[in-house]
Amino acid sequence: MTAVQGGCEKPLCANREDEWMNDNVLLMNQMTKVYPNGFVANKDVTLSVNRGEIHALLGENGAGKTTLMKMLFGFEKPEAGQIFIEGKEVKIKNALEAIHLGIGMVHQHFMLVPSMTVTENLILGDIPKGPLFTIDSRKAVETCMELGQKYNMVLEPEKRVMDLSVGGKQKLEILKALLHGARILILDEPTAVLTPQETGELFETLKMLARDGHTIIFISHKLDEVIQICDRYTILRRGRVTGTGSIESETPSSLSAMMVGREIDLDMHKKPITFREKILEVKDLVYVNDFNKKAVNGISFSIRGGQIMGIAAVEGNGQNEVAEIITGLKKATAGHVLLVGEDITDRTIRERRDSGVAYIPEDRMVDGCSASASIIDNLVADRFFKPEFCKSLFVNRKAAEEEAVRLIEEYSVACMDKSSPVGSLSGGNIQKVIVAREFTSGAKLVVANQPTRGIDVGAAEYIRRRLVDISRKDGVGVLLVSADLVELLSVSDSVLVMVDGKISAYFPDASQVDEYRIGEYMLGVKRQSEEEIGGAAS
Amino acid sequence: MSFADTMRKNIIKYFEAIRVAFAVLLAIGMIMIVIFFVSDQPMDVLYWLVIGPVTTLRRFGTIIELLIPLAFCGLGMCMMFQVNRFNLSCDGAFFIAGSATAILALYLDLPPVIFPALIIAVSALVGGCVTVIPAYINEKYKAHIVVSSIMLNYVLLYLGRFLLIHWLKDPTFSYNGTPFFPEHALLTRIVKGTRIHTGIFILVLAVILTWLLVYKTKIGYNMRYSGQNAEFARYVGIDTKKYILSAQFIGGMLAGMGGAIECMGIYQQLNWEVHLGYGFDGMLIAIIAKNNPAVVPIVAFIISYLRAGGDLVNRMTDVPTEFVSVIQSLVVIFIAARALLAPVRHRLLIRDSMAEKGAN
Repeated sequence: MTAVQGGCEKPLCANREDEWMNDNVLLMNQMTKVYPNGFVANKDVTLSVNRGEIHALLGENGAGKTTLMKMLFGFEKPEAGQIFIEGKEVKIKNALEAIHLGIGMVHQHFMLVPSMTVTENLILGDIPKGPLFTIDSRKAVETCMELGQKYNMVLEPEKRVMDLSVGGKQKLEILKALLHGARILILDEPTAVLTPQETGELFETLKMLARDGHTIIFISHKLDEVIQICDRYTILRRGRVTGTGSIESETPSSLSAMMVGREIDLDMHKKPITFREKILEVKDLVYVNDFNKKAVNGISFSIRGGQIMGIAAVEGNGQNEVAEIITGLKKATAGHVLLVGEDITDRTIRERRDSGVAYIPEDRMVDGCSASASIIDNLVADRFFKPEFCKSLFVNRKAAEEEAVRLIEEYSVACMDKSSPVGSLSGGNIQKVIVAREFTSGAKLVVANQPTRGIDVGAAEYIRRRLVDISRKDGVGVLLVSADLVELLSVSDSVLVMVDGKISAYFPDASQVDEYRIGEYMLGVKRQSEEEIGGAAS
Repeated sequence: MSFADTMRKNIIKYFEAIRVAFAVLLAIGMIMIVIFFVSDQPMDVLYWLVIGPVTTLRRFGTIIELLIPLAFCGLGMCMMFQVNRFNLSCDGAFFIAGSATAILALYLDLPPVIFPALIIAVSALVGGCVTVIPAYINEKYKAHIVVSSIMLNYVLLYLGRFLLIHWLKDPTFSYNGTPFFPEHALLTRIVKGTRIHTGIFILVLAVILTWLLVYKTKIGYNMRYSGQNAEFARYVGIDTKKYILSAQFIGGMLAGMGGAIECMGIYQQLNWEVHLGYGFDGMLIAIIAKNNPAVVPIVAFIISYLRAGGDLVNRMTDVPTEFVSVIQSLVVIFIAARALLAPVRHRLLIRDSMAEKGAN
């Protein structure tokens, strides 16, 4: 019998009369955390989770969810508050102690070693020993199989992690936590990278685990999913609890109201328009990456003024490369990129920007902003050298600051001081800074790569609306790459699906398809005919 | 707002300066404990270390004399750090600029003022050109800039020694040294009784120009963007390679200028057989000054003050000079320890934000 079950059968509390105490697996009472920069991340936050429930922890980015979980894992020291596990007060100083207490975390970014096999990853940290200093690999494989069968998540033990699908990696993460004896599983945005089919599978697993006596804390932004799977919820806003209770009586809009403090309209209210002239033409684009693999393999499509073209693809199927080739961050191996009929394939990034290409990059902390630079410097980074912000050699700081203030107001960036580093803002506000810069650069084409990934509902809604706005009002062509299919379908006018660097489907009218159909093409189960795909280029 | 609140806000505001002062005191305090054990005259040591450098004009002069080359190398390192190129090429640039200076001063003849000006300009160019080499091969061939700059320093050291010993040296001297430079090739000494020379004015100018360049001009903006996050700079369309190489070039020019000025102002001949180590000091100064050229002279002053005090301790007491290097190193370690006093600041901040919440 494994430690997993042993934990469940252990008598929890001597006093069985107090039913509530028995049921309560985790209680974080009145937690307060202040960061060194003075930011109050959590203020008197109480999270109470019962055995066998799936508990949703909701909140915008920067609301304090991560901080709360970090305190539970001993990464951060709380200024005040207590943590009770099964009614007993505990002081958690590091992650190892948390693991020993039966807490397991499945991170959004997987903590796996890609070059090692499933079994090797699984046993890391708890290696079955053979004679002398060897590893009992047979026992390791057995453990792996047993565990997989028990929780209905069978993975090939000898397969390398890098060859697993995203869903497979996630299963492995969950198994790893279970092997370490986790009774409380924390999943941080588990569905962000999954296709609808994989999400369905994950939910079955989670329900089974909950029935088995495990407790699950589900951190997510996707309210539909939360309602579908969770029993109870706790909502944070600006470091404080704004709501907690049973999920049954709630709707997506009532939950989002508690998260952002107002009602959120999830419908885009897009007006149909006739598209203008061709803004972007991509012809037979090929990109060979560093591993000598054709990451983009001969794709052609075009975008017209006012049109929002979405690209749907599972992570790593060439969609990033397409975005980066169009914007100039990567050089095409073959093929052409035309902007309003002009060939820009060999132009520098600055020349592309000057002729009207704007880009919201996938990784906002690497490409999108300079975390240590001020908000002002980030906002004017693409224009400080232009005549209106310069007096001969010198930058006119006043003009730059005025521009920054204008953008901060226009794009409602929430910041205390425009001179503080961008890195001190929340994810949503950093993204607003990027959007403010890119949308006001006078672009004809905006390439938006995961524009709302990992940011709060309020900011995401705002950015989507802005995206629709610039296409409708200013006739800008938009290329949208997003892993969030609901977003992709509600924002885009037309949708391309990419598999293995090729276009596998083209839907001229995004409103005619749903995410399940897209999912089939994304996974490569189905493929359209050449004529249908060819429609993308016309 | 109560007095305590205002006080707290001020402490948070000037925390950096308070922290540095605390680090200096802490280092001196620690060293005093040791000195009480090794010295028979501990109070004298403290006197010469802290008060000694300002007791006579000549002693004060030594602070300024040392400050000049330190500050030039500090400025040079600021430029390189601004583009996030951590490397050690200032040492080599400083050294080889001395060779360039000696060649020009001995084999050229021009009217006063123009002569030293030209020497400084050419030496600066030489310094700039050599420092660009490691940065260039880093950009082009991805050779680690720290390794290549150290190797380049060896090349320059032995090139300089070769020139000195096989060509420039005056054989009548008992040591390896060039003849003394002609009078009109020197920088005039401006304060009687010290060796303070006109190089100090060039330094003031260099500090102002470097500060303006880094924080006020388009070029400086381009450089800082490239240094803060090169990926981001590239993405907004900046030619990061160009600006990284330019900053490295200007950094080398400043170090080269420092070499020429030191050679003409203090030594008045070339007798350098080893690196003088100002490049390393410059790195230290730039780090403490957080790459801000305007702060460089202040930090250079603190370092030279400690050195001058150390020399006096060495001459006037029974404590050997090695101990002084220990003091200096301790000060730097404490200053570099960013987390020193951090818990205090953290507590103050919490109280501050709580007070604000209460007020609202």
